[in-house]
Amino acid sequence: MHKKASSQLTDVLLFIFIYIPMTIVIVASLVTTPSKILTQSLQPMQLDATIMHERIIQQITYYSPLTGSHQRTIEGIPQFYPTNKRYANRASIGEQQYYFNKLFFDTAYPLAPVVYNKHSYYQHMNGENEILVETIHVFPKNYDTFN
Amino acid sequence: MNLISSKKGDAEFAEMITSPLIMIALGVFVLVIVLVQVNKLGSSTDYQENFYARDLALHLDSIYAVRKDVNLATTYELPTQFNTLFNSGEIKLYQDSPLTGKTFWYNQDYQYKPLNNLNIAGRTREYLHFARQGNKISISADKPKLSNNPYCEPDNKKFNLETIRSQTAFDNIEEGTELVTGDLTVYVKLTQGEPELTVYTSQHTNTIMIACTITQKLYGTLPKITEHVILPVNKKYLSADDIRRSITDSEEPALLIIIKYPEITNQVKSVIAAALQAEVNERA
Repeated sequence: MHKKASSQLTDVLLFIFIYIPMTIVIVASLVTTPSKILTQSLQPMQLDATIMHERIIQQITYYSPLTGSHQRTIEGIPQFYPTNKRYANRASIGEQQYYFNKLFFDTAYPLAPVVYNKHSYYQHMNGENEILVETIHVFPKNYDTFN
Repeated sequence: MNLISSKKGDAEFAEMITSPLIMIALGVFVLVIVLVQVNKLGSSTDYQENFYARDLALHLDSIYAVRKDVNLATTYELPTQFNTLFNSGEIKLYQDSPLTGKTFWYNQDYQYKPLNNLNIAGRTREYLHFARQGNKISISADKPKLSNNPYCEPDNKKFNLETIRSQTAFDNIEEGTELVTGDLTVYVKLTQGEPELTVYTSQHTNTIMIACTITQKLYGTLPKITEHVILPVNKKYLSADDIRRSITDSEEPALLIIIKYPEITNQVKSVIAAALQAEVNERA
């Protein structure tokens, strides 16, 4: 009688403290994992940063179709209209630095890549002298707005 | 007595809670939650709306990334159930009302005219047609027509220039001759062949801008020209007898314009001279 009662008590404890929490965890993960995977596929920040790098390069250089090289033979500077997208970049052209959303860049850059995402690109430009262009792009972990 | 009764109650509770009926009920409950969630994910269009809004914004961003002197047309296949609303720096994708749609942002370039309240209903189109000509981007349900005329970025830099209008210069145009002098030297060579315009520039800042505006004028006056290229040249890649040495050896900015045209007549020479004169007048 005592042995049966003890075994039933063990079953109840196992049920309450192991099986039910385990079920909750499994159900929660089954419910949230697909939506998290889907959300993750909607964060193409590396592609976004690559496109922005190309845009900056196009704004500040002339592309030679003969040599395939970018040449600093125009005086353009990187300029964009502000948007609601929480994003910032810094373009360093030789000694000069240009910012887009400087306030957010100064906040996010030191905390990347732990709290924010960061993508950097380098490119050499020809001109009267060779110039190194570095662009750094920072984003939140998931796309977000400034508001 | 209480103890005995309590133990009996515990045993009954334990039996009840571990009974197959409760287990089956719990299993069904879990299955229902999972199926409801899967159904919600499958039937909702939130993901699609988000996906297309972001993809369209990146598509537009990538159109801005193409060289400005290239006229470009692209098509984007978007399910007709979605309507699009383009504003400056923002794209909204929606089904019934813009208030319930998904928004994503693109980075508007200062040199381009902003898109304002451009609404394209899904039922009116199969594809979205994007076109970029110069500093204008257009998005429409219909296929756009692109022109060949090159776009030049705004440039008001003044030069002290003078055209050389001598008969000798005109006679020597087929070998290559100097037609503009001053702060900037322009050499022109006219040869017979399939219509083609090549402008070589020295490495000086802004020579590309003036090369572009001269090219624009030549397009207007030589109708058979349909393609052109502007190439900055570097002395270290040229042999000693290369004609392009004439622009790289000079301290001053210089251009070499090589025009291939089916017929070389005095009229063709005159329109080239007139185009250069117009440029000199504008830059004065």
